[in-house]
Amino acid sequence: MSQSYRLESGGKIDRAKPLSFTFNGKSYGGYQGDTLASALIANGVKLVGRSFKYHRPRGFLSAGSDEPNAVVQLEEGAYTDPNTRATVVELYDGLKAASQNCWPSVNHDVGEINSLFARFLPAGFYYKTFMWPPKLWMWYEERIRHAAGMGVSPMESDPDKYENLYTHCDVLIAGGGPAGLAAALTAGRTGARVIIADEQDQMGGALLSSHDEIDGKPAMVWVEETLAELATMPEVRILPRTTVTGYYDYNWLTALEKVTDHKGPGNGGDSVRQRFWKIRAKQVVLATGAIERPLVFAENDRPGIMMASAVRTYINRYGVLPGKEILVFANNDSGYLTAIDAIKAGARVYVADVRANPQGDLVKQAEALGVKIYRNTAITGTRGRKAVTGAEVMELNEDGTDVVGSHYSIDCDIIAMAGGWNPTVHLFSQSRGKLRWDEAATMFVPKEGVAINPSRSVGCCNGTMNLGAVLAEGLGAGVRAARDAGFGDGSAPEAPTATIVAEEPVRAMWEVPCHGHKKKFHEFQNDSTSADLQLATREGMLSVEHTKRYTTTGMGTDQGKTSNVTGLGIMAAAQNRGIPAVGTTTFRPPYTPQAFGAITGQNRRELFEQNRTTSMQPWHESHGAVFEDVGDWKRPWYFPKPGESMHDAVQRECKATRDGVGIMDASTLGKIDIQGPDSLQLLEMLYTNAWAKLGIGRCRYGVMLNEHGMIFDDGVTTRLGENHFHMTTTTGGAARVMGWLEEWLQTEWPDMQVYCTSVTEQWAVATISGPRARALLSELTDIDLDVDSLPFMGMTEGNVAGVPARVYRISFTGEVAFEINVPQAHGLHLWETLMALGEKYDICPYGTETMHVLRAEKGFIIVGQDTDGTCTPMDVGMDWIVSKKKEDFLGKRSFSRSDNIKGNRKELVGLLTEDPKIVLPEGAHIAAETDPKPAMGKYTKAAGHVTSSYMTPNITGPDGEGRSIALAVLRNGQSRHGETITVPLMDGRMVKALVTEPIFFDKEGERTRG
Amino acid sequence: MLTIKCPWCGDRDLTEFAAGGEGHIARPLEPATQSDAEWGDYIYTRKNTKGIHYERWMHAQGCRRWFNAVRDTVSDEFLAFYKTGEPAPKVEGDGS
Amino acid sequence: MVNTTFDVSKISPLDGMVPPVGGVSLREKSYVGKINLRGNVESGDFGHIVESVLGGFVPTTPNTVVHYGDLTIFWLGPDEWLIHTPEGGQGDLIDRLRAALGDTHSAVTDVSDYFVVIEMRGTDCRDVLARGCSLDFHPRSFVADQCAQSHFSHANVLIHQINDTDFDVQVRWTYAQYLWGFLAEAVENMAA
Ligand SMILES: [Zn+2]
Repeated sequence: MSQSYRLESGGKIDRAKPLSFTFNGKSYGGYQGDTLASALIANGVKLVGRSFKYHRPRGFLSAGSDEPNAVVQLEEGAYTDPNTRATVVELYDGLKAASQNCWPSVNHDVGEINSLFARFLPAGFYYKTFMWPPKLWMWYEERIRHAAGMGVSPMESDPDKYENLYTHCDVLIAGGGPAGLAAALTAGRTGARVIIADEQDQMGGALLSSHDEIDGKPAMVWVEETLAELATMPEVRILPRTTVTGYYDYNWLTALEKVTDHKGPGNGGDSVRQRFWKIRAKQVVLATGAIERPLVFAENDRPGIMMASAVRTYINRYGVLPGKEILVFANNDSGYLTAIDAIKAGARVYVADVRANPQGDLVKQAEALGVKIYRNTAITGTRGRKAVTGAEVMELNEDGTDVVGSHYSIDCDIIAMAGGWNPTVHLFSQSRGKLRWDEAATMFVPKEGVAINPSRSVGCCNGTMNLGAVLAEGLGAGVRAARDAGFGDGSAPEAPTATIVAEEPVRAMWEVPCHGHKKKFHEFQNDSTSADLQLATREGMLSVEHTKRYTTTGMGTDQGKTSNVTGLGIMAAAQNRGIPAVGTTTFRPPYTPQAFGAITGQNRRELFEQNRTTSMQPWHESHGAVFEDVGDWKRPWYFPKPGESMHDAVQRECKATRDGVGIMDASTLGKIDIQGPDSLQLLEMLYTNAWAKLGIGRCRYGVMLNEHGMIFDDGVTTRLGENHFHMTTTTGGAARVMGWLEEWLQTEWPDMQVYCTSVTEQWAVATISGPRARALLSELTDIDLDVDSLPFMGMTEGNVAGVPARVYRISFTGEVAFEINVPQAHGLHLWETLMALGEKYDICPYGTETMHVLRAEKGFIIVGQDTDGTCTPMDVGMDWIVSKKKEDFLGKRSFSRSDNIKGNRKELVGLLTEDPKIVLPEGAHIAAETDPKPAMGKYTKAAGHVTSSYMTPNITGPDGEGRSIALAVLRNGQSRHGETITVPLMDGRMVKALVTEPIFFDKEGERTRG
Repeated sequence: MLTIKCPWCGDRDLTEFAAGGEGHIARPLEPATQSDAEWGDYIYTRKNTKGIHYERWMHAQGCRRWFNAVRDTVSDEFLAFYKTGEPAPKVEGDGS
Repeated sequence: MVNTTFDVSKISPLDGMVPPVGGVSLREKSYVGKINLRGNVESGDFGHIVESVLGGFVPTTPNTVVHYGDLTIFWLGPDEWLIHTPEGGQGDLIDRLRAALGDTHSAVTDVSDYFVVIEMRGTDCRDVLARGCSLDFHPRSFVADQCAQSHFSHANVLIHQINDTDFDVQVRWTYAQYLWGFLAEAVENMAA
């Protein structure tokens, strides 16, 4: 079979460029300019897939992005793309496609058996049958999905690149048909920045498929001339292969550009495959055309039953005559355009028209060409298993509710449905525009938009179907949109003359009558029939949104582009009310499917998120650090030596720091420079403790509360000068605290004379801790490190390792510790110098895990780990940090709120497990009751939970070796020291632990101050 | 995506801003004298208006200034922008 | 006394980053001195004191840049500016500003290492920026010596248009590698 349906001439294909491709493993030929659909039709292929529910044979319905049936699996391996509409795939050499939703093959499909049980698979079948018992739902769901199977996702990483691109324009035009081009022309002439996007590979829209004339010449001449003029305008951007997919608030629209898809996998060079545009437009012109709708008649889903406009597109654009004997089934004049083009192309053509006595221009033209017309006639059934071979027609009764008389049989291999037009109002509707039902034209048309999304709908998407009027609307909308964006005076040129056909009105017939129970599909992909909609109504579904979900109408990959309005018509009839009363479902983005890859764009792999690292990172990396994510930061977690486990490394680091000297990269701490005469006043409000007596060069720890009285950050602040402070925050809280300060200063205390500047990254910080820290540091600096000169919680400035530095005697480990701050660019130098000179002190680099263990030994909290936004300072045993003298500070008033004083609060405690080798899991709950013989299920209430838990070598158990320690929050914990509590674990074990005060090491703090 | 007009930087995308909730809620000058109910109102109670809403925004990824806006929460249309400390403008349709 | 003399070295997060091949060149502008300056120009002496030190008034039009000698001054907010000095020049200027300002309410903060500056040079800079930043860089909307703080994908940036075609992008130290990677990929995608 070699393109036996291809016409001798005609079409906008390049016959000098033959292409070969395979479908379901079989080779075929086509031409440059074909779509996969047009090439398959040229080769006589009609059966392309199976429907979702009944696995009925399905062919091509349309020639565009509204296609519900011809959904194929494109390409293989990493390049495979499921659910691709064959009607929009531009053919390229070597293309490989396969049917999906069928097994083992499209011709012999096991699931077709569903079709035999169709009467057991009514609307809502899945809901009714598989929802009980709930346990089995997961099992059912998996099987249903397998049987339904909408194509196969690629299992390999996507080899292609994608990008996001932002742009701005004065006028965005969605749609490059006659209306859109006319608008682009007049908007562009004003000098405005114009973008015109169209989903097809070339501009022209419906004109690409028609024989219309403009100014007495073929319409495509006007298209070429318009494009030539637009090409001379530097501010006009023409985007073919670009679908405007989403219309969001404030005229923010998304568009998907398929840059290299048409070249085939791997043929795009280094180019991105798809580009996802994010467009901010001052004005929008919607010129999105219209989509033809099917007629819902008996057995209307056989392969070979297509939209009339699609038949016309295949003939005129692709030079393919889809059938030899074509029966057009129409309720309006547009079907006759197809009849005329088909008979001219050599087909035998019949028209069955549901209208009583159509006599319009087109009808007469068709009749004159030899088209046999059956007036007042309905199709009442079709024949053919894998392709249509004929139809039965009968005469309609007077009001079109039934068929009468005897049936008449017509042999045909194509039935072309002309059921009227649906303006493509999807984008308008997404923009929150309201629709109006035009009863005479039987269509929803735009009524009014919203102020924040200024747009104009023109041409067919506005219900304007006559070409001359379409052009006039486009020209006018273009200049007016430009004017509203600040360009030109809004006066439009006269519209060119165009083909005018006097059309007779459409006859609405949402469901075509027949005798007997035959399936009439209105939604092809999901196999939804008129009977399903009527059943839904009988079962009480009046809301269109309920019916949609119950019958799955409009829920396929085409989102009901063809089915929505016919569905509404049938529902309206079943509910005995008008279509406007039934309403419409909400159109949501995207207009056509878009790949996650395109949305993700460049934000993948190493660009998926920012990895913040300090200037010391090169050393960490080259010394085998294992990293931990802390917010956006990658921090060294521990530094394993060869062969060491994490446990081994952390135990070694913990011991080395207490016994000698450890070093940690603390650069990630948030740092804020505070200057101004009211700085002290600000600190008094932010922190719970008193700051007035803090001397210059002295540091103080503070906790910050929100107005609910709960801890939200902590850190050490140092007085650098009379009115100059250096605040540190937690690593994760840096931005939050900076924002907190600015918020209060700007919105509540604008008269306070304070400026805050983030200096987090200005300073690199190496912290050295341990009994030998002072000796090591003294080798790098002339600063007097004597305890009298630089006591605990003191700060001094001087050179360290030849670099100007601030040295803070702050300790988070409980050892003598120095936080050495140098400008970030010198961070690596400082670290490497400390490591080199620290060698003889057996200096040990440690990561965040060891830091956590050492501070837990000392009972220092980590905000966000030991606290959770419901903890007051008193809850964590820090009554000492709450000033009793200060009249006010943020959060103070909330301490005395009834909820906070009623008692029974969760309070921070220490836990020592009876078995010192058991490390409680963080997050484990503490049982509320202590039953000596507990049964599972008994502990339904928790009295608290473990917040921090570690094994440490620095605290010895009964066996003289290291033991586990934990911090926890426990109801009334502060008065329960000495009690034994029970922690039930996931594995069923009941772990006993002793409640202690939350400090395990050097309770007097002598080591810290040394 | 909302376009928000920072009083200093002009029109910018929503993604540059942090929302600060209802505006014109002053911190009580003497919290200690507040009843639990009054203090609870201050920290918890918000209008959750359907319609005209006076609210705070901060140009987080720009000039870092706080400012106020009037927005119709139904249409998402911004009716006014004004600097912190300036009185709230009266807008049409404000039923409050 | 410390006997060791230290061989002091500096690093940048962009050390060793490979420049992309394409229509826009990327290069780090090394070790620019940077000072964050806060103060009230609407009342009091701050504006004129600063003017006397800098050689000109700080820019008061939002999102603009002025140059005085080898200093470049960026508007960051109604009471906030960023001053770029030649390498190492920030210390002296900070001292002079603080001395001149005395008790006048203000803040002068060294942020030289807080930020890194990437120079973008070439006619396609706007298209590269459009791949991560939603601002409108069309010549009708954005001109030389205009600046803007915004975000480039996930990174906070200060974008400065240098002349008709070229831009500088300033970013926090810890976001510099991420930003460089993003810009480099954009340059290479456009060249393909
Ligand atoms: Zn701003």
